[in-house]
Amino acid sequence: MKKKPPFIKKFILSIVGCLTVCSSILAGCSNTEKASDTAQSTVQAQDYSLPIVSDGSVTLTVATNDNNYTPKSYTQNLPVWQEIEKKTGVKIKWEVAPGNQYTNTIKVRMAAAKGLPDIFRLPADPVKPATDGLIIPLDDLIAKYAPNIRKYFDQFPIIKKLSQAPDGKIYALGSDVSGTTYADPQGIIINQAWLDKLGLKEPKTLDDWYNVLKAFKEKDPNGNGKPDEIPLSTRDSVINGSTVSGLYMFGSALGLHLYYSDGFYPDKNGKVQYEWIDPRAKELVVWLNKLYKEGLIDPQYTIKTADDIISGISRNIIGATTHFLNNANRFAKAQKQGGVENPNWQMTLPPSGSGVAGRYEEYGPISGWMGISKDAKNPEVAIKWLDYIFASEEGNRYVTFGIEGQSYKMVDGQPQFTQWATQNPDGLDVNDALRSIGAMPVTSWVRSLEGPWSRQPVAVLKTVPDSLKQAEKLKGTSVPAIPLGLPSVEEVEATTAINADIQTYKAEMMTKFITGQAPIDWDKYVSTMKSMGIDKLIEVKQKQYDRVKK
Amino acid sequence: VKSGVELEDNVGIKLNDNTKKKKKKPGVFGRMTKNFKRDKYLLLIIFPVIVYFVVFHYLPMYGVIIAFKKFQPLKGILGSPWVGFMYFEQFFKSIYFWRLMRNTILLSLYSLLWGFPIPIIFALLLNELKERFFKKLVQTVSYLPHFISIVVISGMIINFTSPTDGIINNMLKIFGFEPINFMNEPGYFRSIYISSGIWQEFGWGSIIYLAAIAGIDPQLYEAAKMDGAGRWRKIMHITLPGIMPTIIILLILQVGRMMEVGFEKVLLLYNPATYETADVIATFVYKRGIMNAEYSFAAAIGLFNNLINLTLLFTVNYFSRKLSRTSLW
Repeated sequence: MKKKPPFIKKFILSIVGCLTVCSSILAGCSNTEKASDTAQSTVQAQDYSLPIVSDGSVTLTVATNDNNYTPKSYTQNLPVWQEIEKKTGVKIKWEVAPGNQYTNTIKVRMAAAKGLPDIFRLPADPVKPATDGLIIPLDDLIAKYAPNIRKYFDQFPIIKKLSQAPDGKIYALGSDVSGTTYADPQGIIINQAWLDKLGLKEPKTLDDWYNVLKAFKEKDPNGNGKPDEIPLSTRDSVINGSTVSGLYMFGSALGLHLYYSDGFYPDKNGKVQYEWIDPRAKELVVWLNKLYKEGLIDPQYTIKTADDIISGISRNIIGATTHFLNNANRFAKAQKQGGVENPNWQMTLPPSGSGVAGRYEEYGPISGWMGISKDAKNPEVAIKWLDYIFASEEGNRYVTFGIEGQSYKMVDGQPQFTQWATQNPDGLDVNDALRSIGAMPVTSWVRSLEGPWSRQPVAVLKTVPDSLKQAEKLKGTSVPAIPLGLPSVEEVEATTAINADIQTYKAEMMTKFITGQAPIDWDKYVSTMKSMGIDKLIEVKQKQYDRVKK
Repeated sequence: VKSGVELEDNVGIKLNDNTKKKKKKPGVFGRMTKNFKRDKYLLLIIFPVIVYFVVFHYLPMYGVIIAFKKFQPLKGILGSPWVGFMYFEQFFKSIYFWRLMRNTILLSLYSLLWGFPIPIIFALLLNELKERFFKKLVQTVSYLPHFISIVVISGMIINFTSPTDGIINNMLKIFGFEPINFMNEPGYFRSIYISSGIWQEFGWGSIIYLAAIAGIDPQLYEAAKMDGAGRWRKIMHITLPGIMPTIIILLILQVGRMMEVGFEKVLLLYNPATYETADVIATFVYKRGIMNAEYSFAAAIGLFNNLINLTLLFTVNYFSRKLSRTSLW
């Protein structure tokens, strides 16, 4: 009884809300109609048309980490999301926390299992929260309400497979980054200015690399008269819970996949092998040890951060490193600011060996997941909204290109970045310029290899002509990392303890071998790996692999 | 009269019945109500603290049972299935168990051994300074590092020890030594970890001793002076004994935190090359749990650590009570 007044209040409020939203929709009517016209041609009867909600009565809470461009928070109602709200009629309440804090807060909320946001970014893969019943299966919802997601999955069956939990259901939508693997591959970037100065050619084999790095060390390519050059400086990254060093990319010359696949890779017969116990890995380690002994590798390669390396580069003492292609341009910029004349950084072709065509490993294709929680009151609206921003052409254009007229314009039916985006008045690079209006979001979004969702990575690449040239040179020299289906909870439980020990052991032994702290006793290393249960780990990876391949 | 009654209650001695109205010996309950009435404002002041400890420290303790359960959020702590000692076994079975134990214990033992006396010595030295301004200056300068974030400290350590352009190695080079790759040598890790910890905390740690020294009766010093005691004797026979209870209590407390090695600092400073001496229980749990939120496993390790801490605390307290008559309880 006491609740009556608030009810009445709410009712009045909702009417007022309806009216305002209706009027705003009317105002933007011509726009809306056009959009639904184009959408309708493919849409089936039970599918939605825009706006998803016409009376503004639905507010979804979306929890994720905040904008990667930190000065602009999603809570400030950024232009892209304002537009999306106008189109869909769905109001969004953002529950965001800065990058690393978000994971902690959402983990606590998930452990409490109460009052979860409607849609939220998962701290890890979706299987555990799905098994715990925190997020709901999306298959039925997609079949009923999400025409664009269906179309997208039809075009990329591998993405669908990779999104399926071991029980065959899809519990979350993952950001598809396969399109950026072409535009922005990770590889070895070399100081081309030094190469030119010493009259050397781009190294191809391990022997070439040795000679080039040796020359970098001894011939004073930065011309300051001091032997301060660090020929090769890489950093460690954590990928899927295991620490990998940029040095491992040189495994490419021996046909190994030690970076994104972490050494787990199928042989010709589809049997998953652990390449870290392969004799070829020993060859690589022996080679790296030789480089380290001769001072060609950064003595602090295990603790260097990306910032350390940039600072070394701007002081012109680094000869080669590993990073994403877009950084080649960034390195040159940093050097220019540091007073270096004519800096030039180029990504090399992946190192090759005798009879082995070198290959960089591709990352992704999925990075980061978003699911709909068990507490969502309106899962239909939630999936429609996700469908719009995740897989519809128009929604994808919003999240990838931003706002028409501001950050892009349509030329011959293709979006192209405006000067505002490419030469931002505030001095932001194109990524940050887009993020400042809410595009390039932290929600799940798609940059695929082809189709309407694939245009943005290439457009970004085109803003830096030199990068475009390099990307074209590198085309076709990469392989996907091992495609692994999501592990089941049982598989994870059976292997976490083994995995923790093995990861520690591998990282430690590789460092000791490379730095010469321990003699390279390969047989003992392999037998220890076996005794720690590497076979059990391989077995689980095999199952994961088979689930995708079947 | 009133104070007389209070005295009686406090000391617990029964005074002559005639001073009071004829009344039966008050029972426990009666005494309690009386004390309660008398101390109601004091109790009111401490009430928030009691509530704080009950709500945030005692009530959550039941949650420790998830160490023996497979925690599932939807079922909650009580509803999750029991798994016995599974998570403990997983930890004990790791081939790194003994190394983790050794590293954890050695790191804190050495920290205690080297880090504990220094603030005391520093406080004693500082106390001998006559020039007030200089004393304040030294004190402020010495405890400033306490306020620097551990991330920054770690960055500084890595920079200073860099074999290519670190200040320490540059000095070594000037004197004709070979540069040392400090952060890659397991043999240096503990020294670096502990000495930087001492540098950061000794000034801050000395504050409590300075406060204790300030509490010593100046008459004692005057008397000692009359007897012809010099500075050294005054330190040895007045100042040190005067702050001994503080020293012992702090020592007991520190021993009780033996298994809590500063996790962030190790994580920021170590790398695979120094796992041998640097990998501690906390970092191991971190590495293991990086993929999943493993609450049960973390709770099991936490419980294990706390049991060891509690045992150490009791042991040290017991011996301290026997030997020096100073103890926590």
